[in-house]
Amino acid sequence: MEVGADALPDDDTRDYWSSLHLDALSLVFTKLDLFDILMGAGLVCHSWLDAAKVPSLWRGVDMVDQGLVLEKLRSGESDVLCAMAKLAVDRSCGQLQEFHGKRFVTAELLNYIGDRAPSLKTLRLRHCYLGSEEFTEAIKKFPLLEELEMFCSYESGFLGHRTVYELIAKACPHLKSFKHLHGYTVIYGGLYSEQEGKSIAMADDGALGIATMTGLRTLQLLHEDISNKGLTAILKGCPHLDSLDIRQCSHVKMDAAMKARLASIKSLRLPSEPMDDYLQELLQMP
Amino acid sequence: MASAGSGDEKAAAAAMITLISSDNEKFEVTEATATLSQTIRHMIEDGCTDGGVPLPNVTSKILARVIEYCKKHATAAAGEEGSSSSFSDAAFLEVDRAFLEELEEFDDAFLEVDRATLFDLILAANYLDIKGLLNLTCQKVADSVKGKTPEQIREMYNIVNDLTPEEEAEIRRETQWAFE
Repeated sequence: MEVGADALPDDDTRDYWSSLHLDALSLVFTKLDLFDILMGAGLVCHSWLDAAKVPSLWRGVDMVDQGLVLEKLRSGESDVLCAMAKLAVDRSCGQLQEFHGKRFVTAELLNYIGDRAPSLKTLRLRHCYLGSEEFTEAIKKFPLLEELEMFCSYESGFLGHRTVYELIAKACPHLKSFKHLHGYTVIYGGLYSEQEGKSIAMADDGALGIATMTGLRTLQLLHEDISNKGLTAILKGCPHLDSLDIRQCSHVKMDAAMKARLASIKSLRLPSEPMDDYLQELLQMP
Repeated sequence: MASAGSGDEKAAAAAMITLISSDNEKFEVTEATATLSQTIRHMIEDGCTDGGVPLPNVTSKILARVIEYCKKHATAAAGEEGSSSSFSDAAFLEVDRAFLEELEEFDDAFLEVDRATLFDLILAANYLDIKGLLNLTCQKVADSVKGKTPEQIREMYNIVNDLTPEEEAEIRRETQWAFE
């Protein structure tokens, strides 16, 4: 045992921990995850509950890789995770800046967050099932968004890539970072098969949409079906870009002209580079 | 614990500060050690440390431990500064790593205390505004409650459940998913 079991004198039964300074208690709580705050430490007594309700504690809500997120997903309790996320959003009293969510995230939850935390700056979604119509509708509620990450999230629906990206660009004019990896490339085994990629996505369709995200500084497009033409359109549309990761975009050919265009990019990952760092993520597909 | 390094003593030989605990015990420390506390740093800057700094909220037992922590961390900071000028980068990194490892070991051993002492250390770190010590002790509390139910935590820390019926009802309403 850590603090507890060792060396507390048997006769010491004073309850002094409930009177711990709110500052110190808040610091303790910043070191705990959402589950401990909502289901454990935050329910111990009146003063600890108060500390668990301090809005600044809830500026960032990360529900991606904690053991309990994975456990609840495995046991099919997405609704429980949704309910916890909503409670976290409520507690932030509008101060929520950053939300990371996994498969349990629905368009309804995004709308809930948007209605209560319109100053959200960072949204990271992994393995989410979202329709393109409902997603582009919900994203309108985050006008201050600066960072959007969608990994292995499925945008099913009738809107093409270009339209989806254009609607994101329009809804989030302050967007500085966009990271994207299609879900279906993995489902259909397309990640390593050019054939699949071609049959599913229309080359450069998405690129023209991304070119409208004019404030981008960071762009990560993994295994997107773009050609040199599409990439050139992006570079032209996003003049502030200084970090670009286009690994597995195998239709981009690194000829002399392309190399010259990419010369101003400070951080560059090329199509030929391996995606080892994402393999773990990809293998987690539901 | 290790004694203060020669650099530390030399630099602050002229500036010793006397800290006075709540039970009137006096502790002589170097300015480098004392100023890990922002509260004391401000007192020194305001020139009100002549005749000693009374710390009516801190007992001699706890103050001795706090000073032990500050001495070690002030020495480490001074050692790092000194080594950066006299070693090559690689050697500096090596020394740096050794320092950090030693410091980590010190911190681990430092936290081997009963809960009452841990509580008093948090109060003292908070009052004296010693960020590193506050962080260290709060991390210890956080680690001890991770994954525990409210009942387990109450038992561990002798905390009386003083939630009002209204609060209990609110919790039940907000977290009904946990009870279904």
